Amino acid sequence: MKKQNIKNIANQKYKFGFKTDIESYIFKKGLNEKIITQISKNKNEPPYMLEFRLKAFKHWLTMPEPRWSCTTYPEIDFQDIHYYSAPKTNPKKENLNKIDPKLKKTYDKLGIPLLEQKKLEGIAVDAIFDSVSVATTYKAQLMEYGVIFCPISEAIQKYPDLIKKYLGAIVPYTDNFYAALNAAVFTDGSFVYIPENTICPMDLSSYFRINTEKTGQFERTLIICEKNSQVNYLEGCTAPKFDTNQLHAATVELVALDNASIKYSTVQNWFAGDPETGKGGIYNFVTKRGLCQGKKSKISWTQVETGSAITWKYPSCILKGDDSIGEFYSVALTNHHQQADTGTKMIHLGKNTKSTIISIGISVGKAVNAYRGEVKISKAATNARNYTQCDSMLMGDQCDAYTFPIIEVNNASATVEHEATTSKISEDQLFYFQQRGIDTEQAVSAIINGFCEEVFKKLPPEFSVEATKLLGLKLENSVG
Amino acid sequence: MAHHKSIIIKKNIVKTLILTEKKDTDITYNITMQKNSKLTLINIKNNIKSTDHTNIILAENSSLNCIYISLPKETIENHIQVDLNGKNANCKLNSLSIVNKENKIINKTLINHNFSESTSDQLFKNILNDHSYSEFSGLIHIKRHAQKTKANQLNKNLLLSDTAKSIAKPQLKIQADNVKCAHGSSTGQINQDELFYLQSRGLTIKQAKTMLIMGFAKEIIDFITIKKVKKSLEKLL
Amino acid sequence: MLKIKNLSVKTNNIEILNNLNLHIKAGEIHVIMGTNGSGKSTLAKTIVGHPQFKASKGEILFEGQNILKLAPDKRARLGIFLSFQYPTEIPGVNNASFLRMAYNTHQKSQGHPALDPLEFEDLLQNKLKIANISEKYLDRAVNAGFSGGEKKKNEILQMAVLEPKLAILDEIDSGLDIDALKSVANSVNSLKNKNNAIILITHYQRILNYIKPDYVHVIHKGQIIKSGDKTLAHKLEKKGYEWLITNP
Repeated sequence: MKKQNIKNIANQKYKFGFKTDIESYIFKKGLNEKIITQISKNKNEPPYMLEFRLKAFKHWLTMPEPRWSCTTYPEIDFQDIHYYSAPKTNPKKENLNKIDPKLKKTYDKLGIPLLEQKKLEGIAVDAIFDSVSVATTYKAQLMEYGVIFCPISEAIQKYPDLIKKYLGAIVPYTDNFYAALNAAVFTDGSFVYIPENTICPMDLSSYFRINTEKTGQFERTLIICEKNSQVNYLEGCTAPKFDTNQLHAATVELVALDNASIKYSTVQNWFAGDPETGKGGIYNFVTKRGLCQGKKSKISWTQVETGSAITWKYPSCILKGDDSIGEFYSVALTNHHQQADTGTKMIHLGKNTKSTIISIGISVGKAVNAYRGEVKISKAATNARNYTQCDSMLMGDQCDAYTFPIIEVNNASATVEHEATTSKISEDQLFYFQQRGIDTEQAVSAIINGFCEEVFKKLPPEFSVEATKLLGLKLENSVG
Repeated sequence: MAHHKSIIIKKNIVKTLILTEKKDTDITYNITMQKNSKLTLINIKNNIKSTDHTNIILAENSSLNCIYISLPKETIENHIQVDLNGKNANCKLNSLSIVNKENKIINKTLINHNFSESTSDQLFKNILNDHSYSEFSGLIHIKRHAQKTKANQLNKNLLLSDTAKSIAKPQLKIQADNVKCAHGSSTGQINQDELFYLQSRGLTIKQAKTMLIMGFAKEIIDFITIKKVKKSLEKLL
Repeated sequence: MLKIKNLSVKTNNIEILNNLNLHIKAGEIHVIMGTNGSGKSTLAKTIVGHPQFKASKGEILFEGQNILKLAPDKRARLGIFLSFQYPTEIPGVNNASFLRMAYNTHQKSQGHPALDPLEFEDLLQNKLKIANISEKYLDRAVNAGFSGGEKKKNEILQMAVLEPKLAILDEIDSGLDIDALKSVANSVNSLKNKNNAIILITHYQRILNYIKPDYVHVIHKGQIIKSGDKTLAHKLEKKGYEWLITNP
């Protein structure tokens, strides 16, 4: 594409940038043992959880803030963050019709009605507002199948055996700086338990909303899929526009036992910061990991990353069970001043394990987009296979695209392939659209959607439509 | 002890350098290629230990063709940095390493495309036996405004033993939008279908394997156009 | 419908078209012939506004309006269509969606309502018959992995959907076997009517056994050096271009 065709103006509107004016109970800024104890107290946690938090906190204090990713941002002052914020009116309502009208309105505006009679067909939603879950739909109906879908704060009280067994088992707090921080201060997130021989009767989804300025959201999600069971889980996120950065440091753990299958899809649409100045936006520092513990188990990550000022995220799979399968399908679009350092790890431990990585990075404006990945075939992983494909597209001459894979093979029977290409929208393709009467902006959007098609088709249909729209919106006015 | 060698390939000069070290080495080569020069660099290391650094700067229209053949005793490390500083500068790096016992081959490359319209091509092949180890770490950096660059990088590892280990880090840093850039890496054992095909034509499994391994190696050896060198290499393998 | 006056086009400072003149009325079929590099394709691309080909002199009037300053998509929406010599592959973009997107931009510019996928599918059924192309190509990505013949048929399908006033067919006959050639020619004939016009660019007389032109022009060094009726094409076939170049 021609240089003069690419402009950086793009005063595109972020549709979800509004703030809900609601009275909240907010902790004063700062992080120490007292604050952590208070979080635990507010959540009515049993003593084992406070112990877990404090251990994690002690460990966190010994760790330096990591800087190895391809992103630049000023030092984060962890004492300048509110670690807890919850709407005052909310003790959680089991009767959804009694939910605070202001919250109800907020979720209506986000397209996620929570009221009993209006709630989404066929999708159960856990709505998380700052530090608390404010509503969970279809809870009782799911329980009839033995499926537990509730806020993790509730699971900590109700299902201590499952929590003790799995929380921190896949991502221990020693794993990394943000995993330690999350373990110390996590507030809410979703808990999913699918019992043996059960195909979850509807898709489950969590919707994360950060509302209060200078607040950190420390999401913790745990999904357990017992033998021969299946679940489809969707995650969505938005936040208001603020000039200051907000931190979202999540930990997500998945466990799949024999023959179980978890499909985890994310469409991320946090506020990305001011397009002109790069001011504000979410720092999204996330640890997501799935353990394919059982034979023939399968974990599939699909992500569409369009939001956040900075994304730092590597949804990974540990393929422990023989014949288990790991998948990672990702589209990351960065525009303006956004920076994304994302990718995956596939750790092959079991025999005949298979993994597929399809990563698509699109970099526009002054953005940075990096793929970082690791494929490791351990000695015991006989007949392991991996196929990786990384495609990047650059639009404009001020953006960067990086590809940093590591491929480690310790078993001769492995077949590991990695391919990466860089492309641009060709003038010929653009002209072909134009000759058929389609203007440049629509053409660019269609070509980029085509470029992402391989990943989009892995998304559940309603997410796929949303992702297509989102890309269009993000690219608006980036072509002149 | 490390020592330095500086080589300048003058304007319009065509030169071939064949380096066959007999003793362990620890050398830094600094090679400057002036406009329109051509250099073929053949580096053969057989049964030695070495850590060499080769830094090559290419000016406009210059053309570099490097072939590395490494059969390490203990460890061979080749550090190669190429700076493409002019239009139409182009470099080819081809490497074949055959590693056995507990020996190691480490190839690290950095290709800087500092100017527009330059090209680079890399092909690094490793054959690993016994407890051997290979590491390929290659970075292609296409600098801002180095438009119309073409860069390719490919690493292929053939594992002949269950106890061999290979690590590949093929990396790209791209800061210009009008470029063609691709990299790839594949690791695996001898293709079983190919093996079966040869056996079905009456070859013993050993013959068939040797043939396929030679086939894997040949792609690199064929880049050597000097007959004498090529012959002696084929003998060696 | 189309008036080209004293058109000169340069690319990389080389003059490819030089003072070219051409008048086309509704209902006519014009054939443009010439050797490689004579300027045939440049003429086609200049009319549709390819960014590499800019007029240095002259004008192109389409229904009285000078279109040289219009963006290519605007020209397309006025009703000018180019069947590309080498149709571009667009991976990942569904052929049917692409057709609908193109169709709806035309609808919108004419103040007509856009069609939803179901309505559009009805419209497509008839068009598929005209273009003699199988429905299965609708579900594939635009031109991606199509054979030469399939690409040309897909161009004709687009022409059938968009119903242009002026269709420029750039070597629609190249790379086709005899069956495909007949099929494409039949499609073009059935799309022809008294309100539209066609410019057929070709090397060979062969396609003129199926499509009957009103005029034949020979282009050489960026100028039309001879115009006539279809007998001119026959003569050329027998005697070669050399004859005309040496005896204009």
